[in-house]
Amino acid sequence: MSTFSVTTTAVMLLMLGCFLVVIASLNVTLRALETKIDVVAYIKDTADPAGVQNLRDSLGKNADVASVSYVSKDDALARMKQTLGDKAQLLAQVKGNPLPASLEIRLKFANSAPALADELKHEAVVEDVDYKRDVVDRLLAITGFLRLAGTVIVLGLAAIALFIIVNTTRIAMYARRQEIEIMKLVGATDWFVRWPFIFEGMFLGLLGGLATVALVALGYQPMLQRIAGLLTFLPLAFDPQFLPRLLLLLFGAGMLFGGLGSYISVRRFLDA
Amino acid sequence: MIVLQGVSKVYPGNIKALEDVSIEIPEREFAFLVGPSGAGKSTFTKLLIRDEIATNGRVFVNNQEVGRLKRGQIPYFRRKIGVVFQDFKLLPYKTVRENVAFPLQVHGVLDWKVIQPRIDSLMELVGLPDCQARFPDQLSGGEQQRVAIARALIHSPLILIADEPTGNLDPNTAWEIVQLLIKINSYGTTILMATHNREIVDMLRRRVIHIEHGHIVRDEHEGAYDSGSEKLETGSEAPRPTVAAVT
Repeated sequence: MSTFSVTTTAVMLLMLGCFLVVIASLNVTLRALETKIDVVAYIKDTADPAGVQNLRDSLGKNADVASVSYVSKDDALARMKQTLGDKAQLLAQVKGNPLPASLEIRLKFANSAPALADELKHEAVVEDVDYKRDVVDRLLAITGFLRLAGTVIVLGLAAIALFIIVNTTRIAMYARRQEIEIMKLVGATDWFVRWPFIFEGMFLGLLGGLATVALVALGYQPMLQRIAGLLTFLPLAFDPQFLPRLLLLLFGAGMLFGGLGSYISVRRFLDA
Repeated sequence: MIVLQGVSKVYPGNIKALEDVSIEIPEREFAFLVGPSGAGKSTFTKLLIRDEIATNGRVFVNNQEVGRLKRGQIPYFRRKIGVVFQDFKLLPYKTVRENVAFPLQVHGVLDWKVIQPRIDSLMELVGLPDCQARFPDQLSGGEQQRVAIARALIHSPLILIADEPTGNLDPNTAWEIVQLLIKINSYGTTILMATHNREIVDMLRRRVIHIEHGHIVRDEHEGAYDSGSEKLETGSEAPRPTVAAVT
């Protein structure tokens, strides 16, 4: 029966683990996408360089901003030439350098883009502000949805895991109902009866967690590649820091589910 | 020691197990609880150990109103009572010594220097001084019941409730077990024994409380299993001697 409990816990945790891997990888990708969002403030040709420097400094101190880089008029032209490649000679038709200098602002979180853009528009040295409003809005909507869906699915899986563990331990406990009955009759307190079962549940959960951790540790990268191959529409990325955290989480979840499952199961026999 | 005042117990489905039962069992008494199967004997004993709660009326054990105990008080209340069952209820994976020690351990006494002398003297009392290392399934039914009695006594309860303790035993063994209970009673423990064993009840001539259909139909001191007598007031003496076969 203990083997059954451990196996059930392991299978449940494995499902949970797999899903967490997908969610976490997705999160890495989403975060990377979010930080790619730039707000570009085009600087007036007439702007005072000191004013530009002031703006750049104050942006550097802004908590939402990851980095600020200054692109001079010449840099902008060089970039344009590079972008045009073969067709760069077209620029020869243009007199002087029509491109403005700009401050490229990389944000920590995409959702701070609209407010920052508004702020920058009111700066004296700024001609115009550009950020990909559509892209930002869509990305925010997608990431928000994926995170919510992920949380709901993880919680759902956890609830199912707990339900199955409770029922498995209840079967095991049924075999020991006489022991519980005798304990109660000779004057054992509820906690005296409960503790051994909770510890046992935690131990079995730990074993289940151990089995899961071993499988996940071995299969993390191959599995991720496989999933990425199957679900091509999902952008997945490998986060080396995630694995140790996942392993700790699975250990913890195993013990928590085992202990909590036993607590819930034994309650029925205590009330009987 | 045990007082029931107008106690009724109705199980779900309107099954009336006890109806308006009032009785008093004083300290140091040895009383038999007799009656056919389904008469309400087990319900009676369950009410005393708070395994069931009376639907109506009040149950007092050792001056505590059992029905008013809070959940957290029940374990401490039960520590003053010893219970013996027809099916012994020994834990099969524990040795005799561990089974007998179990209630003390449950009560938090973990020092074997304290536990062992008590086990030794109890095993002597129940006549099994050399069986401590054995497991229950290595013992006969009678021996298992002796172990169960030792377990019920290890925490020096004020009351011993025995629910059909001889039900699974042959007549000779049953008689030995009852002799043991008598001995325990002589040391001051109040004993209530639910039984179907006519011979034993008739031979011992102790107090007999007869339940039928949830009512006490007879309560006789020095009574017999059967009686042609009419229904009596609870707690009253038998008005005339009962006619019973003494084997």
